[in-house]
Amino acid sequence: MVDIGSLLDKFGVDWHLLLIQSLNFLLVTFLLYKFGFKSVINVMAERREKIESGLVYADKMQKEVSAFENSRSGRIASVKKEAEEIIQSARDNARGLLEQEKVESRKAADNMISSAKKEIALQHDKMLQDAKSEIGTLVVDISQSVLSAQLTAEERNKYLLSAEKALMLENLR
Amino acid sequence: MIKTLESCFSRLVLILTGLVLLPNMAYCAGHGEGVSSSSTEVFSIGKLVITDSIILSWIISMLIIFLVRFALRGGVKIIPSAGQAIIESVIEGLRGIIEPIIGNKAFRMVFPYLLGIFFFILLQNVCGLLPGIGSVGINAGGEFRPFFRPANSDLNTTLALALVSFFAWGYFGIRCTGVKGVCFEIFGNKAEKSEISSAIYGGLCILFLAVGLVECISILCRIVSLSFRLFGNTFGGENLLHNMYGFSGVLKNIPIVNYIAYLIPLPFYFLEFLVAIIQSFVFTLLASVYIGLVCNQEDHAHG
Repeated sequence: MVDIGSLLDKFGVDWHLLLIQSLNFLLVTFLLYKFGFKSVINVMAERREKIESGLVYADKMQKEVSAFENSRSGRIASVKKEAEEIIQSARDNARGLLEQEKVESRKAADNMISSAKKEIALQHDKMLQDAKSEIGTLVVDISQSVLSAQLTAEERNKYLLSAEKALMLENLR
Repeated sequence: MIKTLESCFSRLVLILTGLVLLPNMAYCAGHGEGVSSSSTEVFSIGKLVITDSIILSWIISMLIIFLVRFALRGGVKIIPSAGQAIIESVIEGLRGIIEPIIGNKAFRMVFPYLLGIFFFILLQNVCGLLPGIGSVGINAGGEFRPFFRPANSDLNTTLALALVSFFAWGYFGIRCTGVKGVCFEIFGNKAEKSEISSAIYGGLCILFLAVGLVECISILCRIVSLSFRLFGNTFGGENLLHNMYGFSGVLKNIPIVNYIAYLIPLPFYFLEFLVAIIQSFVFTLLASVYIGLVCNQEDHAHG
């Protein structure tokens, strides 16, 4: 049978020393926790929370980005389709307008040509009239010179009218 | 009082002499038969005896606090400094191992105590490898008595740690599950009453009560096992290093071999460094297992 008392004596076990070492350990543990580990553990917990919330936020953002990407591609497709329709309608409108403009300009050109022709005809008539008058006057003047006689106003009008008639008859022929 | 002061002064002179004559004293240490199994009285205050191991444990305790404060100088930040990162890695490593053992419920309450145990034992163990500690001393009656004795090579320290762990087990057990819960864990019938007949259940109650009594002895034995395991490893290590120094002292007188004589204890320093880490970890792990057995009942049940 082992004598526990002598065994403890051999190893120098004393309750005073046990108490001192227990208090020493508890004091060290308390001080380490109070002035060291407590703040480290709190910061680690805070960091973990931040990382977790960050990951949740990142996941949420990822989902939002993919949703936005999907909606954006859908919108781009619809806008592209709309743009193509607009371009097509614009082309159609432009083609219609071009045709209309062509028709209108042709019409305007025809009008201009016809009015120009009328004007030319009028100018031609007027010129003819003037030429006739001038020729009649020349005929009278020549006749007067040939005849060497002073014609009266009445005779001049008579010769002038006969010359004009002759020219008109010549014209009619 | 005068006698006490005289004793204290003489010890102080002895220590200073030992530090000055370190190489010779280390050599002298080699001639002893082994390290003394008990610590040496340095001085006493009335009936209170202060030993070499207590003085060193106080110095190391202050050093632990200083080192932790030094590592956390400039404050604890979200983006850690190098010192903070080292402490965090140790805490995170221990957390990863201990949290599943203790369970989430009691972890926050118990973890600071376990961190204290780990750091205290680790640095007290490692300090035994510092030059002059455990290796510088005198021979008294064939026994080597170092001036600075590592705290864990004194049974008083390891027994104190084991006793604190025992009371901590009781305290945390009662805080987590109450007195009833602790008693049920030790003596309670864990069989499902609805699944078995009353007679068998009654028989099992008696059986669990008897098992509980054995469990009580086992729980009390934890004090002995925890304290002697740590003490044995540290004290054995001290003796090993002491004997290797002695061996190198003998080899010093042999030609050619004398060049490598002082390298002989070197591998054993690495071994003791490993033992220091492992023993601090083992003590912490066992303390957490004992607490976890009481506090982690629900998790065990769910598991």
